Amino acid sequence: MAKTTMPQCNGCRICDRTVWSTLSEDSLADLADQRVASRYQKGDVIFHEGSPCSGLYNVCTGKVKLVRTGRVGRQTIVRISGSGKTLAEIDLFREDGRHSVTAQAMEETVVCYLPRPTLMDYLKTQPGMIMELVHRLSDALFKAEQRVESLATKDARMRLAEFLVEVADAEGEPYGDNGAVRIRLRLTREEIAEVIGATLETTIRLVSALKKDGMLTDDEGHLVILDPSRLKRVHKSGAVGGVITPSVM
Amino acid sequence: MPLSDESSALLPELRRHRLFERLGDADLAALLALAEASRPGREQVLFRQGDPCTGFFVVLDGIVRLYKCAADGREHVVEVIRKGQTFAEAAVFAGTPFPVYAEPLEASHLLFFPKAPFLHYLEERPHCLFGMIASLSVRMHQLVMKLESLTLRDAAGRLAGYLAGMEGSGGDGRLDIPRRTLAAQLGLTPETLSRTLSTLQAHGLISVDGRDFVVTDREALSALSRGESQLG
Repeated sequence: MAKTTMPQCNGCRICDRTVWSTLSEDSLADLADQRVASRYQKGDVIFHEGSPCSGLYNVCTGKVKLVRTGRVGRQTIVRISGSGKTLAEIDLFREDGRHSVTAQAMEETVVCYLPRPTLMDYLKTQPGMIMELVHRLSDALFKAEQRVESLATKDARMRLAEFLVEVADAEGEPYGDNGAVRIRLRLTREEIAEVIGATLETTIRLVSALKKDGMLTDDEGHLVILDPSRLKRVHKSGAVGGVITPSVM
Repeated sequence: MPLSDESSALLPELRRHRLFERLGDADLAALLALAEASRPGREQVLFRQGDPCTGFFVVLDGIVRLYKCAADGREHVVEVIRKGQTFAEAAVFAGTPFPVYAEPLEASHLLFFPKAPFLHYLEERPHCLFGMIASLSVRMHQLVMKLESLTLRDAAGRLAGYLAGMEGSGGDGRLDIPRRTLAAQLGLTPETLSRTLSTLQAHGLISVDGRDFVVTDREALSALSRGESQLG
């Protein structure tokens, strides 16, 4: 599954939302020759956990999951990154200089890449860009802390509801006239399990329970949240009558 | 209170810290000039979750517990910060409120760096940011590992990982935080922690006496901590 290298990305409208947004037009034009934009298909790996980190990636379009594989082969999705987000910023400055996660396209994705030496040269003279990187790292740190908290304090059902609410906020589109929301991103049950930190069996059971409860349905592989406000209540307190909350770690 | 002239004694101590290890003498002295010394007592709240972030702290001595309060009032320990570590610097950079409560577990000696002067300091010295990025990356990596551990490992695996990390060179160690704090940090109830300690002991991996423990089967403990084996 080879990536396709794209022609020069002049006039890219995503630039404003990437880490490059801090650069002047001159610097940006200067960088244009160094950047490489590549297109990946669903399932293609952009970089592997443990491989040397050779540069910084910006997601132009599409969705990328950052995955860690445990020694017994089970996977954890650390983060899902969409348009404007940075990949590998957490690995660039690590002492061993290796990727701590695998980045894999969840749908057709275009990624803009800048090699490490060029980036480091720029960072030395561009305080705005390095501050933006610090800001992004801090933000990633903040979100990871939230997830650690959620994994430690919420049961699997609450974590599933929390994730669905989150992805609906970011990726949702109206569905019908009754306030239902369709999630644009196609998520497999395995991927949901890897985000919420539950087994596949538990995830399947929990999704079925939400469907039976009238909160969720499927539409051609897309999840549809029929009752977002009720789902939000599940994620805040776990409260909704009629369903037994399984205790899963 | 502002630091006295004797603060130069703190320079080498500050440099040992990852966030500041790459700073030159002049940069470090200018940074230290911004700091205020703080000596909070045990359980004296330093800041609350949701408070506007006013700056960040370096622990010179003591232990500080960072925790969140869930809607049902349950406390969850996000991190335990020890001598030589910093906290709240991510909130300074991200421009967010304090994301946690901070409270010393014992009387502590801290340095506080106020946000606005610190950011101004960095604007004038962008080269100092490289070391700080490295520090944030390390913290991020630790959190990713914690995420993985919470997702993949059961109670025994998490406790084994913690004990393996605390173990001294002689195979023995001492829990330097109360059991309920350790339980919260590992995402366990205190009862589960006690039960799991007993289970590890019953399987001959450790022996426990109050807060002291001795690792009796290091290989099995580390296999358990890496998720390569499970207790039957």
